[in-house]
Amino acid sequence: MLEFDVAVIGAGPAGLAAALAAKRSGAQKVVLVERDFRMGGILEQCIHMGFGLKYFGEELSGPEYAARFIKRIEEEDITVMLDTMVLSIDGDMRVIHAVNKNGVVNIKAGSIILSMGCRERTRAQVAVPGTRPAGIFTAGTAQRFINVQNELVGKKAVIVGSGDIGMIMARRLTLEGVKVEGVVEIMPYLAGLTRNRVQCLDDYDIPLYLSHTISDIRGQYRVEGVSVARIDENREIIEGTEFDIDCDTILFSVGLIPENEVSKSAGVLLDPVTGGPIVDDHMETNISGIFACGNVLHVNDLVDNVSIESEKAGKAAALFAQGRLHEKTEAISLACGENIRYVTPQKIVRGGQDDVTIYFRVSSPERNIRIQAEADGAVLLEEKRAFVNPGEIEFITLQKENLSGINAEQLIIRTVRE
Amino acid sequence: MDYKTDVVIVGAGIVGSAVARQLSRYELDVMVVEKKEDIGGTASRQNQGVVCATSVFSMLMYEDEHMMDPTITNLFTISNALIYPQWIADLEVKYRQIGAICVAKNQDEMDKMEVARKKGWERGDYRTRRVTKKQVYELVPQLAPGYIGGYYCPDECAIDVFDLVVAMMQNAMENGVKVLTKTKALAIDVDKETKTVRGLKTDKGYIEANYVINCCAIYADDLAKTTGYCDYRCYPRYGQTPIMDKNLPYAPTPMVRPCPGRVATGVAITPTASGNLGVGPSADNGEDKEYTATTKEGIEKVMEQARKLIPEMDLRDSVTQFTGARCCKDPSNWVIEVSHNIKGYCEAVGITQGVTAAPAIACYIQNLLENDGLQLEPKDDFQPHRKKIKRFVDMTEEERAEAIAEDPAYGTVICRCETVTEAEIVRAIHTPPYARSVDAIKRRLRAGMGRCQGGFCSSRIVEILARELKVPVETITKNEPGSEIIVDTCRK
Repeated sequence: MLEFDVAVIGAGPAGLAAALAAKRSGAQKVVLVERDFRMGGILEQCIHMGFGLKYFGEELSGPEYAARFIKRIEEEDITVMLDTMVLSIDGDMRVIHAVNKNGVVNIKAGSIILSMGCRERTRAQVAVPGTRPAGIFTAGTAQRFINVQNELVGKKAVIVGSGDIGMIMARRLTLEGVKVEGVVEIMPYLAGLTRNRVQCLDDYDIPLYLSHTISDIRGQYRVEGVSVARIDENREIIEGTEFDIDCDTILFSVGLIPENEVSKSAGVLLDPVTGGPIVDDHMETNISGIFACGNVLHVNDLVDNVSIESEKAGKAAALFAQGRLHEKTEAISLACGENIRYVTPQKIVRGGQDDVTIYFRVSSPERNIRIQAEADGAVLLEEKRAFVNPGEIEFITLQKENLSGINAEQLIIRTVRE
Repeated sequence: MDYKTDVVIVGAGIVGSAVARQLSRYELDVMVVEKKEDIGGTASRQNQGVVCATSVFSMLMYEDEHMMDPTITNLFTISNALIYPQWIADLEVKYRQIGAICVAKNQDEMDKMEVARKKGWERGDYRTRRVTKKQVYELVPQLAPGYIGGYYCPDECAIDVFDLVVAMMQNAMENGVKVLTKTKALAIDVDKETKTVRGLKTDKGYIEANYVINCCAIYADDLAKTTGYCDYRCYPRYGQTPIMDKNLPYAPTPMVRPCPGRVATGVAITPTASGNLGVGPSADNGEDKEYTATTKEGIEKVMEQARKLIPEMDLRDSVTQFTGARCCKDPSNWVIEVSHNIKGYCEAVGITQGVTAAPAIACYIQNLLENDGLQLEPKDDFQPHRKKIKRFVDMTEEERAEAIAEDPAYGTVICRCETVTEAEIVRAIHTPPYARSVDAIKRRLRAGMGRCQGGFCSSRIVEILARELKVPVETITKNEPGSEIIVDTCRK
């Protein structure tokens, strides 16, 4: 049995920032467990630009963003275990069960940080009908084939879903000489960031079909084509709008799901909306000493936010391991009001000494609104937004002075029309 | 290339594989010809994996005349009670008793099922019994309200069909059977004068043989016609089937289904050997034997019918959906016989419940051949146990440590959803029946069958296949030729 103060699972952007923060917050022995052959996680296959504007104040590629953290990790005395897969966690004992080429690895940790990221939703989860030939990929899998393994997945592609990875892959495929016939989005609005639509679709004349669905996939061995149709507000196909596109490749970019199979083994409770653990403002889960951050918690759109949030988890986990994280007292629950789909953290521990940033997504797009935080019937904070969109994460920061006066059990976040 | 053998089996689905294994016990040269790139058949890959103890009971409800033939009904009961347990033990195939319950909405359905139960008793189904409304809801607390009772059989079993077929064929190969994949049977060569089989013509050469056994399922009529005699037609009955994730709160313990209708058993909810749920199948007769597409309406209809049993059923919990083609025959009776017209021709056709009956059919065919004059001398060194690939997911921590010490590739997890290691994938490539495609790996090990559907592991498996087979990555297929995954390298 190996013993560490803080054990971090997953060396993507969340794990890197958390491990570093844990070390710098006084944890003596920190271990970072990663299943791939190198650190960096999915950033390593995101070779496009657009990372780091908020955190580093300059625009970087994914691998460059990761490299800055990896360099710092290597400068610190942090143990890194690569090619090591965590299979389960004993939540009460805080023991991690993992394997690698050297054998079974058991790690007893003072505190554990879950930072396993997320996985992609598949064609099956959106139940697209048709045949099941070769040439159907999730966008991230295609990205790995192309950017990591140097292998091209097709010659003529249709992309399903206007998530960020889908749009970025539309551009990436185009640059590799693949003809991208269009991006098909079932919702009437974009799923990803507006800037990606401009830079990845509009700049390359790739059509975006909003309120459209794939009604059929054809091809026995390799994809031969798809049928696309416009849908009404009940997502029913509007007759007569169907058209065919010939292609040999279909990429699905239809959402991400926090990867919490290991969390479940530890007894961590999940939020049915985010798919990630329910955490307090220290990023601590319902299991004492187990923390969570990054996409394992909720799917982020900006890696910079992940780094900031994960540093909070790293610091709290270090304090916990040293017995310095203040006793768990009562917590205020955060509730979703008008047009709020989810909030995280879901709880704020009373008597905290820090400001608390709350991340959330809205349920549907709205213009000219105010975001309110309300408790005890009083509005604690109000911020204006010209436009909110489910595809983009919003956040507000509550000052510790505001929080200390709350007597209510609940703090409600909502949008209010101007 | 030409071959000479005693027996050639055409079709490597569950029936062909079972026959191959059974005949491998004897001093015989046996060959199997399969047109696909991998063994495992078509219908045998596309079903819910149930060894159906209630076959007699439910099929009697169809009012199909052939079910009155005791030879056929006996195959079910013999298969279940006598043959399967030994085969499963020898071959180490995952197998789980789940039980099955047919629920009734009204007294009319109860009465119909009582008639079937009594007929079933005469044919050896001694275990299916009537249960009260209270017992129904104790067995399936998730069941929708409004059912008044049902019939329950505790013996229904879920089996890993993919592994079963591989296991039977692996064991057959270990005992000397030769398998030719990617080989299409073109015609049975018959001596016109003596009406005796001389051999089999294939697209890869001629196979001289004394016996040809037609196990072609849905293509059986095409092959039978080449003998000059064929008085039946095979056609597909499409079944759309969503497969649900593991550990769903609404998953029932037994298989749950409605009172069987006149043509099919109806949409059932079936716990599988791996812990997923199978839903369906639908039942639509068709003509195109190659058709395997799902439709929006078809899948939605299956889910709607499933919700009549368990209202919480939600398509969003589905990990995959597929359409299977059951092999139906017109007329619908099963034919398992040596031909009266052509000496040396044997067939097993119309088999609609191959998973349940295959081992019994294999034993039955062996007996038919022996009665027909084929000399069957038991092999001295028949080895009933296959050399099963050690499965990481089933190991204790001590066994894992030991396996990794022996082969470090057991420490590299490639499929995280189903916990499959590199060592197992490498072994599947080099162990008969050799895996040559991503789907072949998937069927043997479940890699890529989990909730991420290969999103994580498929790119890695493509590379492992290319490395182990020493071929360019562009030649690796999902399944058949033409299903290559990679079209080119990006940067030369």
